[in-house]
Amino acid sequence: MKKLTIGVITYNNSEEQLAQLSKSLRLAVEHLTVPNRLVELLVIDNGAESHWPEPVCNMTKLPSQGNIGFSKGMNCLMDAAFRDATCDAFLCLNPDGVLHRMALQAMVETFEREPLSLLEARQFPEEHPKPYDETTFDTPWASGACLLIPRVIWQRLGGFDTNLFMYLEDVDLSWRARSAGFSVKVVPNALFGHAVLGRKPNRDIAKFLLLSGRYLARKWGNEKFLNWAEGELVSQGFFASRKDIPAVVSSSDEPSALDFGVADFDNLFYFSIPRWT
Amino acid sequence: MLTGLAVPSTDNHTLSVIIRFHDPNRLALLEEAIFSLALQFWRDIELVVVIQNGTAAIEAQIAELIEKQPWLGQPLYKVLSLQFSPGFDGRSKLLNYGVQHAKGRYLAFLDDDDYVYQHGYRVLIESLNGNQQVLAAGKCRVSRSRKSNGHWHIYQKNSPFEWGRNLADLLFDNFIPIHSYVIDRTRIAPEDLWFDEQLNLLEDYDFLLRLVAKYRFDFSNLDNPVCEYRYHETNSLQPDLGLNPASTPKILQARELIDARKNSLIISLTVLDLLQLRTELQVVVPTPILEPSIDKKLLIDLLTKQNRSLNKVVDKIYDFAHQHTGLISILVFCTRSVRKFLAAFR
Repeated sequence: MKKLTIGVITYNNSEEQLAQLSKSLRLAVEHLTVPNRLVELLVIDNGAESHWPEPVCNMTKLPSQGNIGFSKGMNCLMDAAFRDATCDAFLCLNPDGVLHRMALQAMVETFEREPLSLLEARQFPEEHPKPYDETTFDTPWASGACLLIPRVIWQRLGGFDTNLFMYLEDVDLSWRARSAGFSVKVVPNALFGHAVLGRKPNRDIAKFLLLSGRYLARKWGNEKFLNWAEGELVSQGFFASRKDIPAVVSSSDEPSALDFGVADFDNLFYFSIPRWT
Repeated sequence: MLTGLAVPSTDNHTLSVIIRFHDPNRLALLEEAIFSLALQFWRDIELVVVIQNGTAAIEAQIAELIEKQPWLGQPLYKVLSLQFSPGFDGRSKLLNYGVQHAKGRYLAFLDDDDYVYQHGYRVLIESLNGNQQVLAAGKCRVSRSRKSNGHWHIYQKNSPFEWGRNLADLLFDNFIPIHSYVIDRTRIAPEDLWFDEQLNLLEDYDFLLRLVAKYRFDFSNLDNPVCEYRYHETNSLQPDLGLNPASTPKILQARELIDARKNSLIISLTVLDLLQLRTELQVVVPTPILEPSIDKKLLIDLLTKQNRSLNKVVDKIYDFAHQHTGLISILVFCTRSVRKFLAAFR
């Protein structure tokens, strides 16, 4: 028997959101027909204590450590998940999304066929415009909103880069996976309902995104993007001048482990040539 | 006209979404449309699915699809069938049948292969709740996809309906696809709520024309994408590139019926007032302008001397024509002249 562990980090999510997510999880587990496959849910609260109105498959909550960010939170969940030797895959799942009933089936089937790939569900109704190969489903990077990480990749890469508090840790993980010879794929028949349109502009998000972009650029050797991100941080009023921006911390990854050729900084935050803009 | 329609109470907050379903081979697409409804931030939704030549087995399949979506609470729905002769396209009848069975104060329509973004209905209903208008429209994006290796691969998205901005543009041509708006039924006479069953294409535009000539529409959300029109091999129409050749005779016939509607439709005083017929136009626009040669001189003046945008110029022409005739056919004539002229001018 193999286990898929689903990891969710909550951050003050409404009961309504969690109720719909848990209902979708129940439906997706009910429609999972891959033999010898168990599913469990691991949760950590980065904000207030979360309340899950509907009992979900084997749910366990880890003690909260406060707001430790996405990368550290997910790494905690992955460490706990992979302590169980039967767990061969971990699914990062955003709490503000909803799984389609056939999503887990499509993800697990693909994982069993492609055990050396990071696998990303297709966000719905607005999917990410980054390209993917229609035959191999290879894609330059995978979103962490609904992302399956095989144990073998976690063992090799050690999870997300904790220097990234929030945003772009998924781009970094994808590039590290590709640098190490793994592939990154979209699973187009695995739908993950996730609202990405109609959001109000949020300055905190814009700031985190730019700071993460700046770190990513330094780590992956792109001074042009780093300069651009710093310019935006100043021009958008987050810092008075470039010298006020905190210094970029050093990455703990061995530079030799990073293939700078996989990193694409030519298309701003698309990190690839988008199918549409 | 549909008989027996009641006006819902203003205490009713239900949105009835009418989905017409023609082809049992498109159940997978229908499920995505329904999934998009289960994700809506506006939670109080009633689904009314109307199937062309449906059977008890198909009705049961669709009911099961609805039940299996991650609704918060029990889904409210009806699955109905209408029978037609083989080959008959009952699209207007399906919509009318859905309207007759819908219980919600708010009304929306969705084709079985399209979908609505999560915030879509909430934005439109909240907008209607903040004004006294009958219909609120949002932006519709178009995706183009092909069946590839077991899935629909989207290779392009754009917004071909962006040209439409206002009442005058809607009188010229349709830029509001059927799933990009919500109607508040408490503000509309039941006898106005019907689709012309003579039309098997453009029935949605005919419906809007009749409404917009009589009631006020809310165009304030046209920059907010609320839904997606999915273009793929099985569509009858391409939304921005013209016609599928197989549909050409049908659409030409439908266009004739639309032109006839425009020729006969009287604009209500409410709408005339919205177009500000009695104010500045008389100053700006000299008479007569309907001869093409004078059109051109007028437009050059407007564009060069007063630096007016395309839409403002078009608005002025519409306004003037309305004042003098009250008939949409004149507006269409003027608009075509304006657009032709502007294309040359650029």
